[in-house]
Amino acid sequence: MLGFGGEREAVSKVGLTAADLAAARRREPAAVTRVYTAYAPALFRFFMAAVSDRHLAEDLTGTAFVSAIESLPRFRGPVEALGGWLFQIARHDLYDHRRKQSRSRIEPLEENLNEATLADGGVDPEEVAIERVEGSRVVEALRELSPDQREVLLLRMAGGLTAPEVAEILGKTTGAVKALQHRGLASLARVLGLRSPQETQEPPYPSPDSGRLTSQEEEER
Amino acid sequence: MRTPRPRPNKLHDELDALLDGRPVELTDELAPLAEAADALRAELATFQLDPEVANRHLEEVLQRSGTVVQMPVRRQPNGWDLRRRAVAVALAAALVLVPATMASAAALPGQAMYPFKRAIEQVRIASVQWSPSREAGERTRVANTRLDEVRTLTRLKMFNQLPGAIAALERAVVAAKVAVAEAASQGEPVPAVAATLDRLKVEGGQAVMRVMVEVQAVGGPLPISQETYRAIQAAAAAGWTSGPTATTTARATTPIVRASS
Repeated sequence: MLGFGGEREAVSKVGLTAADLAAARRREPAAVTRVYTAYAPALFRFFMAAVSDRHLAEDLTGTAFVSAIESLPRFRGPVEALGGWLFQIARHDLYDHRRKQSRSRIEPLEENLNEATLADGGVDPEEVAIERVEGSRVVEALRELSPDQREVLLLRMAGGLTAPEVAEILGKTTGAVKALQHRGLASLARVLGLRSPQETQEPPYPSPDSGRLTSQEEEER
Repeated sequence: MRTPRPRPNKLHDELDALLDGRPVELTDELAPLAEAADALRAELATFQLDPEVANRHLEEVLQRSGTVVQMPVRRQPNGWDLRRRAVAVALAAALVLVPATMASAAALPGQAMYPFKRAIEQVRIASVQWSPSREAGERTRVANTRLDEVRTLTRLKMFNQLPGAIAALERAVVAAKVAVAEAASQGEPVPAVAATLDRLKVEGGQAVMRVMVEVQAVGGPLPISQETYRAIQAAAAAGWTSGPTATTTARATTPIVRASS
């Protein structure tokens, strides 16, 4: 939490005060703008890393923020808990989107590229494809992780939440979150070729024997 | 079943501190993890929200913020609502009344449910008073119920209840006669009801006579008080079955039995 020397008023990590929260609950434009400015970039990063689609991530950010502001009068926590609550909404929206997406057909890459070209004002599809592949090396590496590890890392690093905050959102213990982030980063390091020689050659996810939990998976539960 | 808590792990804690930006000694174990975290952080930092999109989001939120939030208002009930309410009230009444009515149907004078039985009869009569012929029919039905009560009390030798039951029978028959006459005067003759009532009066007289026979059949001292006996005797002696129903003016008829036990 970024405290400003000697101030008694509660201030969130992103510099919001309890007064900002109260005003945002009343939907005062200045306060709503402050809340948006404080959290929208992190929400966008979270969605972008999760869906790898700028337009979709923008839409999800807008939707999550609108529903958060509309639900804000029901938020009873302190201003410090606002971030966790917002990401809970974001996570819910992401699951909702994935559920809908799983029902719709999978479009071929060609169509996606053409759509992207039109949306980007006629840029060459090949360029778009190359840009996507190069720009998403780390994000692609994230896909190698287990869903739990990926979610923990995104909430921690894109959302800027602490381990206890992530634990609350996911309904896990802080220890389990710490274990997941350790395993997630270890896997990420291995996939990105940053792995130290001392580490064992464990596959990142899933375990080779699907019927048996590894000690790693047991720890993450 | 409780899941075991993860064991405290120094490396986990150090990595957590590192991610939080707290000072940690970078060991060989931590180094690749920190590097991966930096790579991820750097990648995430490239995801910048377009200021135009941010403005659009804010506009949308603030536009919604300006919208007057409608508070829930209690609607005036329309016809459909009123019908629904009426059905709900009727259903609730039925749920209460039907079991009570069934339970009280066989009640006899002096029993706990008997007043309820009489009250239900009054409700039923009140509900048909818009039609003289229907009222005549309902009052005749009530008179028949009183007759059944007299018979049952006699059979069960509940003599102390009989003077009241006979008086009630008399009053019910009188009321039915009035209703039949009223229906006829209103141009709604009810010959079938009148015939039933005539038969009922005859059977009523027979029932009262039967009471006397039963009382006298009990040997030794009278099973009832002198007053009760005299009341029953008076009722039996009066016979109260004179004249055809349709031409009888009920208000001229005087109840025969006045005494009660």
